[in-house]
Amino acid sequence: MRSRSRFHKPLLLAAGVLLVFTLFSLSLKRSPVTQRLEGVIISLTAPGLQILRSGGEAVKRLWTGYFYLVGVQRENELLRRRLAEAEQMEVRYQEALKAVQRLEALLDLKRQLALPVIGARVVAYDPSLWSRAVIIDQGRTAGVEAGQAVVAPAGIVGRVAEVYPRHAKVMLIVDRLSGADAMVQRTRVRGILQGKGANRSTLEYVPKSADVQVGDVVLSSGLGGIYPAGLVFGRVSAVNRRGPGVFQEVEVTPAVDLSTLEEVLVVKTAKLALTP
Amino acid sequence: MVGSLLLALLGLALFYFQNLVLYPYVHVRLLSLLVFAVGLRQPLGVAAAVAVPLGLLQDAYALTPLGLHLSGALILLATARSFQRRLLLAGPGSQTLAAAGALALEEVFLRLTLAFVGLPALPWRATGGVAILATALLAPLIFAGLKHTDLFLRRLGWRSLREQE
Repeated sequence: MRSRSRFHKPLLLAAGVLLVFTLFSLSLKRSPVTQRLEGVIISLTAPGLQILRSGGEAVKRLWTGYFYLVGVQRENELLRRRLAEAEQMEVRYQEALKAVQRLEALLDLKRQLALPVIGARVVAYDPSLWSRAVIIDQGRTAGVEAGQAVVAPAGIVGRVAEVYPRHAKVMLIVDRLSGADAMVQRTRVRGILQGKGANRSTLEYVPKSADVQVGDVVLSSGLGGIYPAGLVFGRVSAVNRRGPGVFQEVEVTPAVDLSTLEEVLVVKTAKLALTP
Repeated sequence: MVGSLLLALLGLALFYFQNLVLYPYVHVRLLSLLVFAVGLRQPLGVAAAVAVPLGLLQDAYALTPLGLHLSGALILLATARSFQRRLLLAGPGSQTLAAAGALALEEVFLRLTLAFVGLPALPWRATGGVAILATALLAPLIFAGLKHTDLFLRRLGWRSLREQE
């Protein structure tokens, strides 16, 4: 019994180190085992998030529509209740109107793209600061594949990094591993749009002599085979030509608010596998 | 077993809360703090049974290699065990300081690991430091929460999480 407890801690330590190294090496080799493990975890936990998200919206509607008015005087109760009901209806109407507007914008984008697309909802975010990714509610069963572009009405969101049976993980354009061929709309100057983490991205390899100004629109060039040509990445928010080297520093703010995504489109044709 | 499951479920609830309520406005590392607090107060088996699923949960939602957050959780666990032997963490001040130290150590370890596997380095920003400090300030709350969970379970007739080992 004593020898068991003596070996208990070293054994746990060895098991922990072995587990981490095994997972790391499998993950770096992009083994299907780690993808399946991730898929199982996401399949088990993402539906809970989906339910809570929709439940939370209902509670929010109830709060803004009714409880906000708690504390009214007795003689005004009836009127206030009617007002609360009306406000609740108004909130519902506004929510429905916003949803219709969002879906109309998506439909317009679908027509503009003239490419086969899959509509999807964002169900979860990676809340850590180590990467920028979202989970969408469409996966392999809906025809989503790794490398497909993900877009929103305002512009490009990112690309599919991992696919699970009913969900997919999308790498946002601001993730540090994201890179895509891009060009400035006004001058056709080209560069590589590189994610920088948080909500930042930069246009790399733009010579100092090239004409790039704050406010310029940055588009996808279509080269590289990931994003369809002509879609908006964002706008130039800062230019610095004073640094060392032959290239200027061009900071690009994404056109899409990547922290408040709701509905997106997965473009089915443009794709490039992320792995060799 | 029940204790580990309950604590892992508490971790899942914190992950949901972070995803649905705090993101993208507030960046605090609630799961890291929970793993540290559990590592400090609970037996090693229970703490490991909480740290592994919570590490894997964070890994599954991130783009970093599977195992990164898991190794971070194990580092927090090891730090907690080391602090448990050397420091008396009874007051809120010492708990906050210990949590800040452990979270900073985790941050350095994760950055070194990312550099070691050849991934682009994350620039040092004030946001990361503020997130660590804000999380550390929540340490007394998490410690008190775990203590009360223990008492609540005992009142229900269950054995305490520590006794179950």
